[in-house]
Amino acid sequence: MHAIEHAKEAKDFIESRGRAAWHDSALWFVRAKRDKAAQSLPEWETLRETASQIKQHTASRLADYLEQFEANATRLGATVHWAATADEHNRIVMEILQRHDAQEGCQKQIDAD
Amino acid sequence: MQVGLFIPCYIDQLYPQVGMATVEILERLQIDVRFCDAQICCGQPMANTGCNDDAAPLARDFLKNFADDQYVVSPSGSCVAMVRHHYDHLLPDNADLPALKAKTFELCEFLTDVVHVEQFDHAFPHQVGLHQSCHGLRELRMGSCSERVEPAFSKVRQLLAKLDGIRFSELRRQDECCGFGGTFAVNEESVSCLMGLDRIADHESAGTEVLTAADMSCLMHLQGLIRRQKKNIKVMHVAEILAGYPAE
Repeated sequence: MHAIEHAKEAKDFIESRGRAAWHDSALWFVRAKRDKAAQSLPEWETLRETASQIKQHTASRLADYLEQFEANATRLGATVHWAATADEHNRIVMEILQRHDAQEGCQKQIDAD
Repeated sequence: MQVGLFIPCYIDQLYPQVGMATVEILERLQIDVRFCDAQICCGQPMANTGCNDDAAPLARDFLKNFADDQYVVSPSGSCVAMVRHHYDHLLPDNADLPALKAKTFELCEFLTDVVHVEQFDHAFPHQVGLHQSCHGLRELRMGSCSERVEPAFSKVRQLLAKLDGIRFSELRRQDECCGFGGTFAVNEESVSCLMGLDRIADHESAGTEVLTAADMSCLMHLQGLIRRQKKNIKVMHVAEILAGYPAE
């Protein structure tokens, strides 16, 4: 991972005004579609506020929900692995692939990450 | 009715006529205006950059300087948003803060919600492009936001509409950011300038003769770009228009 110098990258990108204008109109197209969909639901602001509260609640108790997920998934026969870092996650996945002799087919995906 | 006037740094240093226009509007409404000359910055630039320890003493000064005023009025959405929405972080559990927040108003809010101005006695026969500044819109809720599903309203436009002969530009993007954003304009100069140029292009194609807003900081950014691009758009703070200053 390397840090992106946003101001510099943005300056280079904007050098091409045509590309910047295309990028702007592509994003605004998405925004306009979102507005159109939102305006079709009179209860939109209530839904949005409720979703926001659900998200905040879940994020504030994420550890509890993850353990609940683990308990339920385990009960249904799955094995849940815990990884504290991206590297640890990748090591676990690699170990599973190798154990099942799937090394060659999936190695490329991991390398590409 | 008595008001303590808070003048933002930009207006004090670069656009003093906006402060004078604010005083003229308030005094014409028989309001007693006091200017406390101990006042300095509200602390917004420091707080926006994460320098809360540097902003906190300014918040304490603000509280002290305006303690005795019935209302505090400022011709700036962003400074008022700072007091009302961000002083809580700087002055936690301060017993005097709730009263300060409740009595501090942006000029157009104050004229609409407290004074209930019915009319102005002058005309402004020009096509006006209204720039909706982000802090005024999304924090002070001085108007409806295009991203929300809610009835359309604008306190600034409602006031301007009382002037005879005024016309408004209908923009393609009615409440996009001007790109200024305080220190953003310094840290992200390219994006900041392009955002400003996009706003100006929207106003130009809508036929804006006079570009106005409740925040001089947004207008300063846009005015700089307009001047460099040699566009024929005049820039005026909404206080100047409401005070009856000419566009010429």
